[in-house]
Order: sequence, then structure tokens, then C-alpha cells
Amino acid sequence: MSIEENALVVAGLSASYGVVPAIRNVNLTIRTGQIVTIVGANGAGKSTLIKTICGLVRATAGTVHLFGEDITGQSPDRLVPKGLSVVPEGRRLFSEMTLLENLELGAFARSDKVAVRRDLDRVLDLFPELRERLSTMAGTFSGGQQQMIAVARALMSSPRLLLLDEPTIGLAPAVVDRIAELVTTIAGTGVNVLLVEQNAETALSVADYAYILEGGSIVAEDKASVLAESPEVQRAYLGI
Amino acid sequence: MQTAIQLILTSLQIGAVYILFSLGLTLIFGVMRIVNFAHGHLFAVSALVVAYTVPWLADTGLPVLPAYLLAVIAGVAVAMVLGFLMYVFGFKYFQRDMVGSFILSIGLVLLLDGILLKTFGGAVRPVPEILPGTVTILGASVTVQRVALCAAAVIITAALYWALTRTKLGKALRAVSIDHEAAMLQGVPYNRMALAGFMIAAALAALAGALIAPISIVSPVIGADYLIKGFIAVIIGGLGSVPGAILGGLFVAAIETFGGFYLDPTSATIAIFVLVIVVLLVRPKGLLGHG
Repeated sequence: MSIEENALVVAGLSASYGVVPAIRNVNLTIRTGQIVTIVGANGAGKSTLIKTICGLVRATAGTVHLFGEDITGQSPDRLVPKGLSVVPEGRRLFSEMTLLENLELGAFARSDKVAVRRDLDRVLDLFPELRERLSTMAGTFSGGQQQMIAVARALMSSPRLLLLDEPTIGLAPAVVDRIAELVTTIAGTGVNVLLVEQNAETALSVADYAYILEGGSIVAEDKASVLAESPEVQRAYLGI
Repeated sequence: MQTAIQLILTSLQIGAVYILFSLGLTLIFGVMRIVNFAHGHLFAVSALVVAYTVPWLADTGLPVLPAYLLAVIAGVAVAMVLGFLMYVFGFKYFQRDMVGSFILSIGLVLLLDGILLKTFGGAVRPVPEILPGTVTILGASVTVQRVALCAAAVIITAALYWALTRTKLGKALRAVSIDHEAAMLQGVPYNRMALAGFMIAAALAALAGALIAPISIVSPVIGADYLIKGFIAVIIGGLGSVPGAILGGLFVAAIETFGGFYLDPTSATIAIFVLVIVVLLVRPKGLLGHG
């Protein structure tokens, strides 16, 4: 399989915080058109993996290819124009700025004003309840709405690959369902999605392909539907 | 009543300079999370260049107002070059490093103190009157020069506020100061923003120095006093907050002016330090600070 057919190829990736290794020799591939999920418990290294992929944490070994291009160690601001957009863990909205300003910043790397305007409309169609509140400070929205805003902001860069880091954490079940639906909708528009989740049930129901991360290493991978049926995964992650 | 108005006007004049100073400090802190104690030297360099250039240009027969405007351009340019050198060879390597940047800026203070003293000499430099005359505002008389200083400071502050809230660069600077990693994830290039923030701050200090030169006694140590007051202003207002810097600047100026008149200048200075201690004890983030 040639590397260009894949949205993201992570090969032998390792990273550490200080002297403590956080992820070890991680290999994963997102084929174009797929929703891929990485499932892992708290402290499994999920966020470190995401941060290493997008250049916030330095890799000690291994490579990352985005649509065939080696992006290992490139800073995140250079990856946005290449089609990578991240919804960080904890949302990380610019809370003292308005909703509209947050969305405008999502489109920072773009200079095509007409297309940005059009994308703003499209993104707001996904979240009709936000349209009326564009001048509201982002920090005053509810947790679920803030998560929607974080996704909307990430979509404003018109990404080809969207990384979602724990988008459902701390949210009410109804909102979790809405996020899951949203991921499917976004993937339907031709965006590749990498969903990193602690909530294995939701993640596995949405994704095409899944990886299980434990202690900083990938311990299992398969089609999401197959993993959801696996007795070990059910016992460890689904509470069945 | 007349005394009160006179004191309010004086507070506004001094406050205007403190505001330009503290806006720069707060901008640098917001974007790079460092405090630049050599910021006062950018102000001093600009004031010194103006103080030297105006008499020199006036001697060549140029009228004093165009001579002053040319001198302002020269002063701001020299200070910005100095700021650029400070950033490129210094602060660039100490971003988000409080201790490292502190040591660097103290070193720069000592270095620049020596250079300025050697270059400009220790003698104070009077600048000829640029805009002669006085005006009467609500029964209080103020020199035209001081009114012009206030007007210029208001325009500069308003322009900065507009730029921070309305332009793409301004929004990116604010985003970086709220969460630099999240900003980078939106494609905002952190290093370019840090340089932009530092240079805007340098320009504000340089403009403040150029504006104060005609109404103050210019010497190489002129920056130190303003730096301390500007720093206190941002601590009171809240480091990283633009409205906080404005509020803090006016607050410090008012205490200094009213305290200096009704008590004495020494008590006023003590009052400012007491106030900053109280603010740090009661509200360590400052009045309008966050994060």
C-alpha cells in the first residue's frame, strides 16, 4: 500500500515526558475516507500521542506522514494549512473572546475570504443554536456547547483530517450522542477523522477502525465492529 | 474645585505616559509570558534621541515643530531597532521562561545603562518648547504641550485597542495571550506573534519617550522611574489585561498626583507601594486580571 492513499501514517512513534516514556513504538494508519478511533483508559498515553502527532510534543523516535508528506516534528501552526485540524482535549476555547472571534481564528491560516464566509455558514448550519449567539463570550457557553464550538472552530480551517481528543469527556449522555452523530456527519463530508476516546462504547460505535492503547503502546487493532465484540475489550472498556 | 481640576488634569497627563508604558509591558507578558525590565531603556533611548535631535535640527534653521516631528521618527526608529536586537539576540530564546528572561533583562539594564551614559553623557537635556502657550480647561490652566501629549496618548491607546479587537493580527495576539498552544493549533505562528507583540510594545515605549521629552528632563536614567510605575500599574490592573493596564496607569497617576499635593511626594510614592502590596494580597491577579 502506498503511503499517499493514507490520510495519516504513524510509524514507530515514541515520545516521553522528561525521562518517563509516555508512548512507545506506536504504529497506526488512517486510510482516506475512514473514521479511526484510538481507545484507551486514563493515562494510556492518548493525549501524548495526539500532541506528538500535531507537533506540540517532540517525538524521540518514529515518523508521522500526513497525506504522504513527512510532518514529524513540525510545529502545529504549519500543519493547519496542510489540512490537519485538532480539537484539543478540554476544548481550549479562547474564553474571553466572542464565539465569532473563535471561529475566525479557526480560519486564521486561510486568506480566501469568500470561501471562509461560506464555510462559516456551513459550520453554523451544523450548529443552528450557535448562530444567534455569535457575539457571546465563548467562556459563557455550557460545556456541551463549548465542545460544539471547539469542533466548529476546527472545521473553520477546512481540514482534510480532523483529530478529536476526548470530545465527549464530562458531557451529558444526550450531548455525547449528538457529538457521535456529528462525527459521522463530518466524515460524510469527506473529512477523515481520528477520534481519541476514553468512552469506548461511543467511539467503537462510530468508527470504522479502532486501536486500543494501553501503557503507551498499541495492544490491539481491528475493525471497530470486531473489537466491540471482543471479550477482552468488552471486559476492560465496555463494562460488559 | 479649581485645584481638583488641575490635579485631575495632571493625573491624566502622567497617566497617559504610564498607560503607554504599561500597555507595552502587558502585551509582552500576554504574548511571551515574560517581564522585560529593559523596557524602560527603549523609552529612554527614544527620549534621548529626540532631546539631541531637536536642538541640532533647529540649529540648521528648521522650524521647531517639523524638527520635533522628524526627531520623533528618528527616536522611535532607533528604539525599535534596539527592541528588535533585544528580541532577536535575547528574548527569542527565553520565551515563557520567567527566570531566564528576568536574568537576561537585568543584564540588558546594566549593559544599556552603561552604553547610554557613554553615548549621551549624564547631563540632563532640555528640549526647546515645541507648542508654546497655555489653554484654560474648566478654569485650570494647562500648557498646550501637555494637552497634545494627552491627545496623542489617547489616540495611540485607541488605535491599539482597535487593532487588538478588529484586526486579524490583533485577534491572533489576544488568542496567543489566552492560550498559545490552542492558538498554534488554529495555525497562528507563535514566533511571529511574539516578535509582533514585542515590537508593538517597543513602539509604544518609544512613542511615550518621544512624547515626554519636551515636557520632562531627559537623562539616561529617565526610563527607570516610569518602568517601576508602569510595572506597578500593570500589577494593579492585571498582567496581560489591556483595560487593566489603562485603569492601573490612571490609578497610579492619580495617587501620585493627589497624594503629592495633599500629603507630599514621598508619602505618595509609599502609598503606591502599599497599594500594590494590598492588591497582591487581596487579588493577586490584579483588578482586571484573569488566568
